[in-house]
Amino acid sequence: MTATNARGHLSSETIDLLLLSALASSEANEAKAHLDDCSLCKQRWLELNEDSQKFKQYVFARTLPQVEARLSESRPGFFERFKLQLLLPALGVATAAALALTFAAGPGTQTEDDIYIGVKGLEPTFEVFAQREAGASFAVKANTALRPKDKLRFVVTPGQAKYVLVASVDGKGTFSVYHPFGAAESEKLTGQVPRRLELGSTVELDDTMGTEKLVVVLSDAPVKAEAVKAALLTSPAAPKLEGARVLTREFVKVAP
Amino acid sequence: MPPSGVPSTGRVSDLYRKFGPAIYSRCRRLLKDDALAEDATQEVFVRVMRHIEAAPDDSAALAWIYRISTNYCLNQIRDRSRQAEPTAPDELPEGDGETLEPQMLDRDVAMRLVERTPEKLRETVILYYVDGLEQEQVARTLGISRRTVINRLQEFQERSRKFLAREGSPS
Repeated sequence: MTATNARGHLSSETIDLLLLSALASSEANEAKAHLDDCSLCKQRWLELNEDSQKFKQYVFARTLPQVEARLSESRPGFFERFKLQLLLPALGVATAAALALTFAAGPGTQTEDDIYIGVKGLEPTFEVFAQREAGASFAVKANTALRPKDKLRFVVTPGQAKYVLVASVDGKGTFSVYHPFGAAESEKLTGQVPRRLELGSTVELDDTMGTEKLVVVLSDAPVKAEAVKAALLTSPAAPKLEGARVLTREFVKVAP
Repeated sequence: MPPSGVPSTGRVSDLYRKFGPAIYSRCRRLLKDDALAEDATQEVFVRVMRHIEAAPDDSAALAWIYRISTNYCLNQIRDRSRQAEPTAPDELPEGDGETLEPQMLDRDVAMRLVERTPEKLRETVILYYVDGLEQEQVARTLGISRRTVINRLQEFQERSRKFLAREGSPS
C-alpha cells in the first residue's frame, strides 16, 4: 500500500493516522519521507499538529466534562428499548447479548444512526446485522464496510405479509437467495409471527469485493426467485415486483 | 461497558484525547471559526462515541469521524449561509478551463466552491478534494458506488468550471 493518493499527496486520513501512530511502519516511513518533499502536505501536517496541541492545551480539559455529561445522558431511547424487548425472547443468549450492545450504543431518538429502512412503526422494515469472527454483532448501515467471512443475519418487520425472501446481487452481478437459502421461491411465514422477526438464515460472505445489494421481498403470495432476480437486474436502484414490498440495503465488501 | 451502553468515564476521556484533535482540526478547517469548531467537536465526538466501540481499527473510527463531522459541519455551514452574505465572486481564482485540481489543492478555495454546490454533492466533494481520499475510499465512507462518486465529481467540476468562467479572475 502506498501512502500517497493518486494525485500524489497524503490524504487527510493518512495524515490523521500518522498523528495517531496508527500507520504500518513502512507506510509511516513513506508518509514522513513525502512530508519532507511536499510543501502542501507538510503544511497540512503542521496544521494538524498545531490544532492537536491547541486541542490538548485549551479545549480538552474545558470541554471534557460537557462531553461526559452528554454521553451519560445517552440512554437507549424508545426505539432501542422497543427493539430490544421484541428481540430478546426470539434470540439466543449470546446473540441477544451482542445485539444488546449494538442497540444500547445507539442514540436516544431517531437520527442518522437509525438502522431502519422504509417507514417506521407497523410498516415493513429490513435490518441487517453482521458478525466478524467471534466479535460482537453490529448493524450494517450504508457506510458499513464488510469483509469476506463476515456472517450476516436478517431481521424484518413483515407487517401483514405472509411470505418473505432475502436475495443479493454481489459486486460481480451474481444473484443469490440468502433466505430461505438457495430456495427457488419465498418462504411462508407460519404460526404466530412476531412483529419483528429474525430470519433463520445465516450467510457467510464470500471473497467477491465491491458493492453488494440486498433486498427483502415481502408479499401475500409466494414470489419466484427468478422474478426477484429479473427485477433486480432490470432496475437495481429500485427493484419492483407486483404485489410485493421490496426493501433494499447496500454494503461494500472490502479486503481485510 | 456499563449497561447503558455508555463507555466508562476513563474510556471516554482516553478516546476524546485520542480522536478529539482530528475532529477539532477537521471542524476548524470546515467551519473556519475556533469557537464553532469547539462546539462542533463536542457534538461530533458524542455522535462518534455511539459507534466507535464497534470499530475494528482506527481507520474505521476515522471513517465515522469524517462522515459525521462532514455532515455536522455542512449543516452548520448551510445554516450560516442562510444569514451570511455570499463570498464575492471575484475572490475566487480563475480556472484553466480543463481541470480544477490546481485550485482545489487550496482548501479555502475548495470550501468556497463547495459552499456554492448543491447539497447532494457536497459530502463527496469534501471527502475527495478537501480530504484527499481516493474515489474508492469516498465510496466506502459514504456507502455509495464508485460510479456515483465519479458522477458527482464530474457534476461538481462542470458546475465549478462554468462558475469560474462566468465570474472571471481576481482583479
